[in-house]
Amino acid sequence: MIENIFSLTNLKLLGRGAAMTLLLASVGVTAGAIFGTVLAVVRTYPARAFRLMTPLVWLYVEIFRRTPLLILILLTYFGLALAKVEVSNVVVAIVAISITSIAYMCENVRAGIESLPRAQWDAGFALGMHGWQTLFYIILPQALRLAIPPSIGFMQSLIKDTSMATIIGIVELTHAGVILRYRFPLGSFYIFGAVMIAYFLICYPLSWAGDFAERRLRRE
Amino acid sequence: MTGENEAILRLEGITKSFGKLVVLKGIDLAVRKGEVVALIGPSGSGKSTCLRCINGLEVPDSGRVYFRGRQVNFTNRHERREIRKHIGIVFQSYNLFPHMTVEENITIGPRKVLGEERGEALRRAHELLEKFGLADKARAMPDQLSGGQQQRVAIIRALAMKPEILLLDEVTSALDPELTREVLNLITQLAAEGLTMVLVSHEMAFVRRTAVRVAFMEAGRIVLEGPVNEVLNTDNERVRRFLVALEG
Amino acid sequence: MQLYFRVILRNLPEFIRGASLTLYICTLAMLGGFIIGVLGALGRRSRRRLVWFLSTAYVNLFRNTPLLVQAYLFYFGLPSFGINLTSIQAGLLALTVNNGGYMTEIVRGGMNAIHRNEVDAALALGMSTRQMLQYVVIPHVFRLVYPPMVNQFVLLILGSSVLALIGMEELTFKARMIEAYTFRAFEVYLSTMLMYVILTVITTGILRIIGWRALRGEKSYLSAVVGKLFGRFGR
Repeated sequence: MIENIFSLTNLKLLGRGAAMTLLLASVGVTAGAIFGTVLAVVRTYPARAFRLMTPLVWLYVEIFRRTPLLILILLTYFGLALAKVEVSNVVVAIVAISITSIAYMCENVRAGIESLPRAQWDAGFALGMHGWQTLFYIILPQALRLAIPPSIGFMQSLIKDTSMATIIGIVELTHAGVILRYRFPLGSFYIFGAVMIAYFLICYPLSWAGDFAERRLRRE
Repeated sequence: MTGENEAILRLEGITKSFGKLVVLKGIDLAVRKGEVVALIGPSGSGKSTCLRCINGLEVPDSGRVYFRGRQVNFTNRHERREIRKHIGIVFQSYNLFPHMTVEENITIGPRKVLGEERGEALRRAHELLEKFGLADKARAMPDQLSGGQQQRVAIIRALAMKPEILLLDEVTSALDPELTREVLNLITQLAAEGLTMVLVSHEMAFVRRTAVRVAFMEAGRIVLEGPVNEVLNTDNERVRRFLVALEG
Repeated sequence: MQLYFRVILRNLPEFIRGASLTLYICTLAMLGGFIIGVLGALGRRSRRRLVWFLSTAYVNLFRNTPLLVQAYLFYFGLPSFGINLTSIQAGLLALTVNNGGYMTEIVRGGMNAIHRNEVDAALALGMSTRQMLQYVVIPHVFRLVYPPMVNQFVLLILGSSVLALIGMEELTFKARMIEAYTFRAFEVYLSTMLMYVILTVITTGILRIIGWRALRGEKSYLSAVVGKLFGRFGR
């Protein structure tokens, strides 16, 4: 039976699922990194233009870090439908994943920025730099570096959390397993075992990368 | 012409509080071009705060600061930035930028604030590094340097901005005795070249050697101010008590 | 486009039932996970190669694979071996085993943070091993481990939503159910989202307050956060 389950066609299905998983996760992390950093700057930088937006960013982060991704995906799906926006399910998933990702990454970068001693800001100002010059050349390079280890950990979680996209029918790795289960109900154990191994192979190298990054950071 | 003896920097009635804590209770100070003025006094007397008020890292609550005869309005962001191009500061904790090499640390101010060309900025940076014996460290990262080397780089970084006045805030307090010496020698060299400096220090032997005027601060006020020998040999009880405690 | 939030109020009892199950399951999973965590941490610190390998493999396996897949494995996979678990049983098992992986690392971190000097000092006072553990090591480890555990509990609550997909009738499942017969999907899921936020905030608050009382005066977390929020910036 195992030979039937893991026939070439089915392995290709799992492969496509894994590719979708990686697609969702990478777009999510990228969106999170870019917009998360932007939000973190808005959140921490005391510019008059940001005064109204700062509490909004705080609210955004607090809410979306405490929302299960599953609910968020469903909410996005029906929310977009209600707003008469027609997009493919993949886009819905990407939007939902990005919303979460931006919230978590914002938190990581914010922690990085705020962990830098005030003295670094002082040193930049003392040279006559504008606030934004200090932010761009002095603060952000350091803060982003500090944010890398937790972000690698987050990427790991994100890859696992893409499994929730199953619920709107997206064929990522977990859903591929579910499809196989319908074809071979008795082989569930092996199917999901294989799916688990696949996730493991994707995620485990990331934990090594994360540990490595953390160790290098500590040495600096 | 009295240009040489006019005060390039003047503080009048500077007060500063942090919340309920009144740190500066009315500071009057004049610094002439080419002078080295030392601020001494017990911890908490407000010396660092006074220094930071000069280049706007702290905005005084009241009082006036005159640079080259013109009053500086520290509440204006642009004036704050402007004056920092003329008055440099070196901190106790060097505050080098850990993610940049030594030469990047030194050139970023001139490039981004003074608008210098990269080539020109690097040339001057290397000139200064050579002058102070750190030429081989140009490409090193700060954490590869000793404390004394880092502090000297911090001073060079401030010098690269071609300041008219250099402020030094207890720049040797965080250093071991051997490393202290190399930094103090650098400062003495700068003084000999005629750079105007206001420094806060606990190194009385160094102050005696290098400073021209000394101001003794206690509890937010300047208690005694005058030529270095006068102040350090004064009969004033509070000053004596402080000096004895320091020099043992 | 009209939004009818009244359906939420009308179905509030169902929501509450779901939330209760969520809390119940998560609490059990946390307790079970803690026990596994202690054993796992000891295993990962052990010098016996087999014990170390098994515990490390366990942690790596369950931290690098999604909870949902683990739940599917237990719910759909085990029947092949004659083990038929209900939704709740499979869900609880998956959640506990998954949590155990994370708890192992948390407890291990706490154990590693104990300096040799502390143990030596205790023994130097003449304490027996049992006394040293009871009065010095265990209280210290517990203090260190408590905040990450509170954090982990939040992750449990959020993670448990996935168990709806194997039929466990917790909050998300109830939401899907209510959505199915009221057709007010947006309102339902928006409210569910808020419920999770409220649930999380209240639970964290209570756990933190308990933590302060029990660990006596550990207010450093809150003041540290407040201090950071109001840091001073450039001039």
